[in-house]
Amino acid sequence: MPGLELPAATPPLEVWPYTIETLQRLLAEKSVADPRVVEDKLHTAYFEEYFNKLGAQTVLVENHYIDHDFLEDHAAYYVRCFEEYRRTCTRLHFFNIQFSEQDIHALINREVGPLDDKSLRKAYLGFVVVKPLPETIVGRTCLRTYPTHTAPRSYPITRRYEANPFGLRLRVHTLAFEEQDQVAAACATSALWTVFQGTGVLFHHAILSPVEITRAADRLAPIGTRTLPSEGLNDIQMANAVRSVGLEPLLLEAEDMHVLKSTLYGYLRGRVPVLLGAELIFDKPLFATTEGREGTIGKHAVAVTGYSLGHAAPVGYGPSGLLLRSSRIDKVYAHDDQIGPFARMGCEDTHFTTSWEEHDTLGNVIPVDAYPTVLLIPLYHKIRIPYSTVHDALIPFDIYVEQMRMQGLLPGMKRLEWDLYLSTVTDFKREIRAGGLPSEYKRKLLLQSMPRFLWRATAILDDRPALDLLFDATDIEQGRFFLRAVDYGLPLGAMLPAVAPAALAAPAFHREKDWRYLDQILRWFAAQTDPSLSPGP
Amino acid sequence: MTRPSDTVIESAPPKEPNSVPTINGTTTPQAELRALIEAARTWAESDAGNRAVESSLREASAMTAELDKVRRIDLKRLDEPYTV
Repeated sequence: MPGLELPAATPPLEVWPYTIETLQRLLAEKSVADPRVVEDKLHTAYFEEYFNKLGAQTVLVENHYIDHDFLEDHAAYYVRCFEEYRRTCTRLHFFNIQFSEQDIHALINREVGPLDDKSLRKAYLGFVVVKPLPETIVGRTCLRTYPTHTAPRSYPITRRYEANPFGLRLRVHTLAFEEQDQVAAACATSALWTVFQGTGVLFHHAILSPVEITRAADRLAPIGTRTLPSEGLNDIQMANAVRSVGLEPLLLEAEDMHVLKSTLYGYLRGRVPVLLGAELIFDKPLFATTEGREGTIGKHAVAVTGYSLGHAAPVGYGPSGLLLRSSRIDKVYAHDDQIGPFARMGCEDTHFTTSWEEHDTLGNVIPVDAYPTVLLIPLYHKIRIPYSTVHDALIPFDIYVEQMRMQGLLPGMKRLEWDLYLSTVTDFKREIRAGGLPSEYKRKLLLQSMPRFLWRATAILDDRPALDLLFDATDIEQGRFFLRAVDYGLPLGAMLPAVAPAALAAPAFHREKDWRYLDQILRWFAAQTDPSLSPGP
Repeated sequence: MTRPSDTVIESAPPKEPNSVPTINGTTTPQAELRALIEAARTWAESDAGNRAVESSLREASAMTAELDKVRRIDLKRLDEPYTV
C-alpha cells in the first residue's frame, strides 16, 4: 500500500525551521492523514500556541522511530487489518535555537561545528511522535511545560523523559500525552495512560500501553460490547484498570467546586495525578451544531496534571469561612486527548471553561464547557485516609482557633489560611532540614519515626508557615491519625498547649457526637505540657 | 505499640521555672507572650471558652453533614461510558 509507507528514500533525519505550517505539513506527511484533517484538528491550534510560547525554532525529524506504545497497539490490532499499517512512527524533536541539517550531522559525528551537546540539551523542548494513521496521529508527546516562575502555575506530576535520537542525549521534564486512536483507546484510556505515566514512577508499577489498559479495564467489567475497537470506558472499568496495576481507585463525586478544587489540589500537590470525568455541554444549548448536536456532546475524561493559584486571595468556605489555599485555584491544567498536554480549564462556580469548540449551522464558534461529575484517584494501597477525612478533621480546629482570634487572644493575627495536601515523610523531612527552625527542634523532627505518607495541613500567615498539622495517611479512619504539630515559633504555637487542657475539659466534648477530630488534635497539644493527657493506645 | 506522637512527648523539653514551654523548644518566651498565654488559658477555662468548644464542634458537624451530601456519589452514572 504505497499511501501508507514513507517514501523508500526517506533519510533517517531531517531538519526544518519551525513554523506552524511546517509542523502541519510534517504531521500530514509522516502519518497517512489528509492535510485537511490535520488542519481541522484542535491539536494543531493548540500546538501553534504552545510552541510559540516555548519559542520553538527548529524541528529535528527522526524517521523510522519505533514507539513502544504504538508497537503494542499495532501488534494487538493494526497488524491484523487488511490494510498494511506501518509499525514505525516518526518522532519530531523541537528546539528553541536555530541549526541546520549540516550542523546536526557534525554534532552526531563529533566534528567541530556550531552545535555542542550542552547547548542542544539546553534548547530541547521535547518531542511529538507521529503515528502512521489516517486521523488520530498524535502519539506519545513529551513537551516542556510553560515556565512556572512567571505565573502561579504548578505542574507537580512531571518526571524526566529521555530521548536519544542518533546517539544524542536529550532530556525533558514533563508528563507524556497521547491522543486517543478510537481503536485501542478512547478518551478514558488515554487519560488513564497519562495518569499511569505519573503513578508508575511515583508508586513503582508497570506502565501499560493504551491497548493493555483497555483490555485490563474490560477484563473484570465487560459492558456487553466488544473490547476493541474501544467505544469508551465507564467509571467502573477505569477503576478496574487502576486495580490492574496494583493501585486502589478512589472514586469521588465532583459536582461541588469546593470539594473538587480542594481534593484535586490535595492529591496533585502530593504528585498524584487525578482523572476527571465531565459532561461536555455547549455554552449555547439551543443552537444546533453543524453535526446536528444540541446541548450535550457527551461524557469526557481527562487527566488533571496541574493547577494555577491565580486568585489573589483565598475564598472562605461554608458558615465558618474556612480558608483553604486551594480556593485560590483559577485554572487547572489537564492532558485532554482531544486538545493537548497541560490544556487550560478555567474554573467557574459550577463548571470549567475548555478549549473545545463546536460550530453552529452558521459557522459560528460555540464554546464548550465541562461540567465535572467524578474524580478517580489512583492511590498506593497504603494511602488509606482520604482527603475528605483530613479536611473535615481540620474544620473544628480551625473554628476553635478562629474563636480565639475573635476574642482578641491572638492580637494582630490574620485568619489562618490552610495549605492541605498529601505529602511523604521524605518530602516533609527534606523541607524541615532545609528550613530555619531551631536546630534542636529540627533534630527531633528529623529523628522522629513517621509513616511514609502524610497529610500535611500548613497554616499560612503572611505567606509564611505558622503551624503544621501532620496526619498519618496510612492509618484507619477510626484510628488516631493525627500525628503531631510543627510550631514555626509564632505565638499561636505557644498558646495552644496552654489552652488545650482546659478546652478538653469542656462539657461539650461529652455532649457532641463529632468530638473525635478536635479531641485528637487538642490532646496532642495538651500533652506537650502535660504528658498524662497524651493520646493513649 | 509506641506511636510516633509518644516519642515526641518523651523528648519534650523539661519544664523550667518561670518559663512557658512551646512546642518547638523555646522555653523562655517574652513577657508579652507569657501574658498572652495566660489570657488564653483563662479564657479557655471560662464559660466563653467552653462555649467556643461547643460551637466549634457543632458548626463543624453541620458543615461536614452538608459536605457529606455533596460528596455522595451518583451510582446511576457509573456505568455510562466516556465516549467523547
